[in-house]
Amino acid sequence: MRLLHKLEPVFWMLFGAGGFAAALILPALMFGLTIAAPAGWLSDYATSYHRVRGLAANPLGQVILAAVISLVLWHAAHHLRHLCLDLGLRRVHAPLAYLLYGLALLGTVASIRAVASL
Amino acid sequence: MSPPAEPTPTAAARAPDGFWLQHPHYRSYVLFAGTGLVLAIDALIVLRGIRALSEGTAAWAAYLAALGSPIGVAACWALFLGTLFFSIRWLRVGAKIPPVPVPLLFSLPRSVFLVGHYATLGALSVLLALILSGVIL
Repeated sequence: MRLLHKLEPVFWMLFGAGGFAAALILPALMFGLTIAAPAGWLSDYATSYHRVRGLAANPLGQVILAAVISLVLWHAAHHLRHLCLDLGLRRVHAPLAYLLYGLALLGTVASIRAVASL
Repeated sequence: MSPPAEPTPTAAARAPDGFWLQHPHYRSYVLFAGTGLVLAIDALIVLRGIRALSEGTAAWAAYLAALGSPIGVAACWALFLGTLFFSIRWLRVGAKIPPVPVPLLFSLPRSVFLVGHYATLGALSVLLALILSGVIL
């Protein structure tokens, strides 16, 4: 618990940054990637493997993608931790917090590895 | 000199039990906090897409096909609506907090920040739409 309290300002900072990253970028990104592209509303050129890979593998694209994925995961972990507290799960609060932040850390490493492999 | 006033009697503190079902505002708040799960799934879907890109053309085609399956379409629409709900509510809440502690910003009305946040969301969404549709880049 002491470590959690010590790192609380960091978690809140990541929560805020992740919230804005998610609120400003995810709606359009998710609509384009998960709805418009599979539905065929975008041209074949727009969704072609080589074009999308080129965008994602660009250094700026890599940084943006890794940052958005990581920050959103940290935001989600912090929000879910506090939701569990609000719902009265105080007894399992510490292990739950470590689990959620651990998954966010794992996702951060995975996102950096994924963009680096492009 | 009068004797010190007795402290106001109050009920003992107790943990709220099922509070979030008792008022529409609380239900909305819990729904908002629950979008953390939606956002986490969004992030994992994008991550899976990047991994598909690193695996090759066939993996990318399979990724798009999975998203375009009937279950995929239903799930993606549900996730998108959850994300949109989060976005609108987060920007509304965020407008109450000026981003930089500058006196001039604190004196501005809240509506300025609200319009600014939604304008930024609109501008970034248009930019992303242009990029994803291949109009630019």
